[in-house]
Amino acid sequence: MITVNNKITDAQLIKMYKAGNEVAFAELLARYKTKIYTTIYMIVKDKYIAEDLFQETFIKVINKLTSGTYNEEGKFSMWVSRIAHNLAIDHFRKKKRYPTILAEDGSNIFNTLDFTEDSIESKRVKEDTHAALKQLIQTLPESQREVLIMRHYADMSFKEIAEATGVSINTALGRMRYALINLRKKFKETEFAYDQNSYPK
Amino acid sequence: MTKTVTQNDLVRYVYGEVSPEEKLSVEVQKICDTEIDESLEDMMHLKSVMDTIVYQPQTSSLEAILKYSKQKRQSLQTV
Repeated sequence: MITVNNKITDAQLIKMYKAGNEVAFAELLARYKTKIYTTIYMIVKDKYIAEDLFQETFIKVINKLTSGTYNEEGKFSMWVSRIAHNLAIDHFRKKKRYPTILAEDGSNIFNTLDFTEDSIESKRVKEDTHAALKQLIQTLPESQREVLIMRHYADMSFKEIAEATGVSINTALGRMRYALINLRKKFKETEFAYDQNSYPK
Repeated sequence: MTKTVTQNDLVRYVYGEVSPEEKLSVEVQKICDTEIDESLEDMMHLKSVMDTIVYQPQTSSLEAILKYSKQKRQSLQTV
């Protein structure tokens, strides 16, 4: 079995995959599963739909890579992020639902969070902080939330965001700025204001 | 002479979308201007918290994707 490590570039993995190496694809999937799933989930806020759209994203990736028409000049990470984001936004718009503050449906949403070896209290503070911030993100105006998710979770550049949303780069930047300002303001107002000891800079 | 830094420049700085010259401008003004320093600190801190909010797909989804890939490969080989 060929061992693939993360020192191999995405482009090399794609080349290997196109040549028939399934392990290379498994490595690509492992590299991007967290970012892609997180991006989708932050938009649709439903884990079952997020799972479906996550699979659909990578099925599109597989179909494109095996079709021989994939453009190797582009960056794989931006391409797959774009697919995921578009699928999530299309779903969101079809359903005409605006994710609002949702009651958590159980601890299993949080069980994917990866903590370092912290005390129980410190873990609890972080869990509460995450819960508060996740809810606050959902209270942002749609245009600000969209830019925040596209930049922070889908890792799209502001130029790409501007193109995708049909606005100028300055508008995209302004929306991001206000998203951060609003989050900062609301976050400080909550009792879970960031604990400087839990998040060392 | 360093260019005056705008709030939009700070956002680009936090997300690594500045030129080396712009980066220097921000870092110089950060030393001289407490408002810029505080804005940056808040943004960086918020970013670090958001970085820790991640979700993972289920193993069954990963398996389904890998299975599809193998099946796709096989179907192409039989053509």
